[in-house]
Amino acid sequence: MNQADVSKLVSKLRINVLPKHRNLNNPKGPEGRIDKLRKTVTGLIKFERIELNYNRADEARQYAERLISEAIRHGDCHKPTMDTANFWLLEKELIHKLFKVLVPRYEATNLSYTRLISAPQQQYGRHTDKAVLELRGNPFPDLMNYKTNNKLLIQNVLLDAAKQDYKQSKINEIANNIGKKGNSSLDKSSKNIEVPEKPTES
Amino acid sequence: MALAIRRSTSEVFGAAKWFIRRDCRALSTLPEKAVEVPVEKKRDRPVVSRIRANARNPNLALRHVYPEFLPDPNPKWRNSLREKLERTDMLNRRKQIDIPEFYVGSILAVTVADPHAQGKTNRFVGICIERKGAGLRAEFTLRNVVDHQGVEVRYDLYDPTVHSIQVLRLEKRLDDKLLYLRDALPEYSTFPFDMDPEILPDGTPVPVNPVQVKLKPRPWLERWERQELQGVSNIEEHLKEKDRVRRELRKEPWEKYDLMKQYRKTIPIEDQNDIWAEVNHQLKQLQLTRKKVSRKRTFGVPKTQLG
Amino acid sequence: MIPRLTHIVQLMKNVERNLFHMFGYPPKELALAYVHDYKPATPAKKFSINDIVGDGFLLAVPKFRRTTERKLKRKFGSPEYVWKMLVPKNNIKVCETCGHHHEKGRLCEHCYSKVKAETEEIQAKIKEKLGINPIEHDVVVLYQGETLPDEPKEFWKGKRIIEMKKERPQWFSKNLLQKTTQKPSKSTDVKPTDLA
Repeated sequence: MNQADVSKLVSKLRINVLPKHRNLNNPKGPEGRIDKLRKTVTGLIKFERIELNYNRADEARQYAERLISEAIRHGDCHKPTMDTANFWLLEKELIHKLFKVLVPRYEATNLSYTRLISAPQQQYGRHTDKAVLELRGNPFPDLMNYKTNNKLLIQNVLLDAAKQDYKQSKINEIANNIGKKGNSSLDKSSKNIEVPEKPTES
Repeated sequence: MALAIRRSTSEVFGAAKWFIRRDCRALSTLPEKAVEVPVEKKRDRPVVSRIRANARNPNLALRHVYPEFLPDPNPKWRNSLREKLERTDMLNRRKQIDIPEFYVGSILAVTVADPHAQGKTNRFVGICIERKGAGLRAEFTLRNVVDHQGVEVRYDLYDPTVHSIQVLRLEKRLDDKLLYLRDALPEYSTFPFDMDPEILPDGTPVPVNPVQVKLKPRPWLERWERQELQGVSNIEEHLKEKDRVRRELRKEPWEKYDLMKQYRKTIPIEDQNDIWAEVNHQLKQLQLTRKKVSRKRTFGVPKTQLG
Repeated sequence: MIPRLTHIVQLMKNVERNLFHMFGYPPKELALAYVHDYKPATPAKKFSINDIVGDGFLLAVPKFRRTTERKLKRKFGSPEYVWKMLVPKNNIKVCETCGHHHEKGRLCEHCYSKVKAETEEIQAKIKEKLGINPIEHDVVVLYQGETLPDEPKEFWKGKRIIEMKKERPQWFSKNLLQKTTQKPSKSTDVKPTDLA
């Protein structure tokens, strides 16, 4: 049982965080792991979409989200945050990008800042799980097709119109049938009425 | 008719709801044309990040005074129901006995029930060297030197057999844990048992004692030279060249930038805000009642100390 | 004179003995004499690999031959041992956009390869055009024949524009949200609202 650390405050991450970190095997050990993740985070912020192994992507995602949330919380005049950004981003022009492009982009959202999508796997043979890690709001074409049933696409419009026409024709048919049936039933009922009247008259 | 048939039943219901609501407006007593309040366009208002807004909550200052109300950050030992129940129990215990605000480095006097002692109570005075545990299992350790023998006693904050916890000197130190007092000269850990409580005036910030402790020569219980201790003065005197070299090799400068390590040790702001919102009101009430009681006491006849 | 001296010496010896006895130490006769260990100077032992290896390591070795039945059970699986059965893959889905197959929860390879190629082109263009200067603006990608819509200059100040020297691919259109109840527009403007 450990007491929670109260010296620093952190914002909650909007992604799933596993209870323990991944070791990411490295000859230099923990230092090598952090170096690897630094390169990945730098690459993500530079290119906004990268393809890599799933485990590395997940670890780097956590660090990237933490970095961005710290930047949003403290802004660029806060020395420890600048220090951290300087450590994590190996290319120094990306520090400008973090505070001047990404912070205004993500300030107002409630969603996570990154997306981790599983990439297609090699069919046969030994394969490592690949993933695509991207920042939301990147200028590239979408990977995930969210609009699978877009009513405004031409084929859907035509299909909808065809469906309506078919329905309408069926309705008209039924209406006509009702009309005919109605007439026949009316005739029958008038005959019934007429018959008893005759004997009373005479 | 054609329109009605095209729509699904759910859409019909939605439209019906809208019609009903619209009609109801005519039945309300408000005037038709309300006074026009200038509504700011969404884009004109400055973008207030929710993260920043959450971090400005004044309740967050409670985490220093009542750190045991925060749960264990390890998700293996998290259980929201148990935590809620523990918090209610903690508040109930605090209604019975005053558990004062104290920090590592403060000098406390704790009286516990002891069936084998003469007055059925046992009183111990010491300096708090560490505070650990979360919830009802929160503990603190007091250290003192009695008859040239260093003694440490660990108490549960919410132990029902505790009669009273009294703060004799409220202060903070430069370190979170004072375990190095075990290897320090005994004068830094001796405090008289009949020490008088030093009362600070209301509203003063908690003083930080910048004392730098002198350590005894080696062997030590831990490698104090490798921990970044602010409150120790003479570590370098006791080191050999080999120790200095190994310390440099063992340093991990990347650890302070390890964002996820920090994250896994702390409870995030949003969760903390929920907890303090639950508990804040009652804690404030308790504080107020204690203040009232203490003020009343000053007008009474002082009790003579017996025994 | 000499007997007196000897007497004094005797007294001193007695005092010494008694003093020793007073403080709880055993009598002088029973006191241990310090034995000095004289170690002959041995020459430094030279390190040889035989010190580690010695007569040899004792490694684990199979005691009995594995029967063919056991061998085949390990290789092909058996219900009592380790069941290795060919399991059909139930998680293959058909991509709605292109019709190729892909694993559930993963991207469709066909679609992804297209998007990847396009992304890499854009990234190369960005790198080529914008280089190493500090990055302070968002990126807008325009294809051939597209113009910027009429927006105040302040809006475009915050964006860097990358012009691609090719036609916009069909599947990268952001104009899908236009209503088909209206006439299809012939404009080639990129709506800035679709940038997120």
